[in-house]
Amino acid sequence: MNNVKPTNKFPDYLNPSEPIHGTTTVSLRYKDGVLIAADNRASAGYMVASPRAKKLHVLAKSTAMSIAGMVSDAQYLVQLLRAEINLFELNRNRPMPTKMIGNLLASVMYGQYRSFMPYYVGPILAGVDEEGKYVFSMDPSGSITNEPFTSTGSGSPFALGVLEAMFEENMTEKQAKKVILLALRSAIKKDIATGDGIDLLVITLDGIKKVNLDEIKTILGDKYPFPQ
Amino acid sequence: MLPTGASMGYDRSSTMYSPDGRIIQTEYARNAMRRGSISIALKSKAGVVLAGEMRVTDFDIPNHKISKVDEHFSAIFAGFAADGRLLINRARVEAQIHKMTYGTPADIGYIATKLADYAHMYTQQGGLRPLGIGLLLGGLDYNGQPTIYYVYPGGGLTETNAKAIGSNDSAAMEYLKSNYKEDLTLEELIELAKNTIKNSSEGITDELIEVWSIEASESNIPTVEQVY
Repeated sequence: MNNVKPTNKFPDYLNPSEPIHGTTTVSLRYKDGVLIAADNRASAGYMVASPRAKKLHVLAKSTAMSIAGMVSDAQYLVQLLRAEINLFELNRNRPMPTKMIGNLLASVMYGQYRSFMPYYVGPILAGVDEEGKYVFSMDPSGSITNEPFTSTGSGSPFALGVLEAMFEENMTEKQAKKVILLALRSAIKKDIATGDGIDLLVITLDGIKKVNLDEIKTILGDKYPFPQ
Repeated sequence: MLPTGASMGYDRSSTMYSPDGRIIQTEYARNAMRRGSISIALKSKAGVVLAGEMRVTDFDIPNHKISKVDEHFSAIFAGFAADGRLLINRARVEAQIHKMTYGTPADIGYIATKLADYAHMYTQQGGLRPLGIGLLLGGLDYNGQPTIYYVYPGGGLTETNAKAIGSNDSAAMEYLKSNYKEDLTLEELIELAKNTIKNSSEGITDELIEVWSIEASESNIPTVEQVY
């Protein structure tokens, strides 16, 4: 009996102190709003499960979410949030602010964590509402912090290195796009679970715009990480 | 001592038939519906119109008569407002659950059936009373077809082209029978709905009539944002 190890701990892959694997997602705030970007690779261990994974999801007029970690958990959370946002807007006749959406997601994730069935995801919730700009960084334990910039996923250490060096408050949209794309490029170059493509959203109080591939290529120039 | 009167006491419970096969409590529930202000739903190939009278008491700000259920359809009810809210909430939640589960907008008939099932439960379970409302669900179906369903207080269900429920609904139905045609334009449908309400009883002005309409057009066909 003495050699039976205690089992009162999460398995390693559910341990909230372990980094979320696969993917790089990046978000930062700038003068007029926030930017959020992600790659297109879905990985399964050392295999590329999909080269066209959709990791950025528009939730409301000026709120979007990036996902990293277990795809099923993340897709479910996106659908749950969309349903909750629709019900909020029907019941209260006003749009749901980014701040409330962020706190709702954190509450849902905290509830699961305390029920020993955490969602294995590392989302970034980015958006703008009447009160301010938000880049919410979250983890499976349900924590929520509002950061000037953040990154999640296996490639996040590479992206954060670039962001730490290049980020400034109140950048113009042009500057901010360059910084976020260079950060993501760094992860694409160095992390094996990150790659295949880039998605970038520009979020302001007026709504969300997707940046097209040609513009991404122009901004990165010869630093564009994929074969032309 | 035996109960007296025409109903011989069979109206005391909604879980008991009278000897001639009626559930008299559901008939009383229909009278509760007729105490509510008039509600109308009309459709043609051009679209769907819901309209109803808002009752104003003293300085109170009247409740909205029409409630949006999802992007593509709305509900209007006549009768006991608290019971109406119950079904509206139910409809909204069911519509969101459908979108989360199947990734497509709900059929109006499916939601109407869910509501009818719920209303029916109140006629069978002990200690409950039948809901005192009739409810019209109208809008564009998942495929863009104009659709209206009527949920009876007792849990019955019919699809319809034109329906009036609430106070003086028989007068309103008479008016509709002589004026409704299946090839009306959306503007004509709105006009007909208003005239039907104004004809049903005296003293109803345009300001007291709430109208909701949706045109049967390509751009109004509902869609659901996918997670992939």
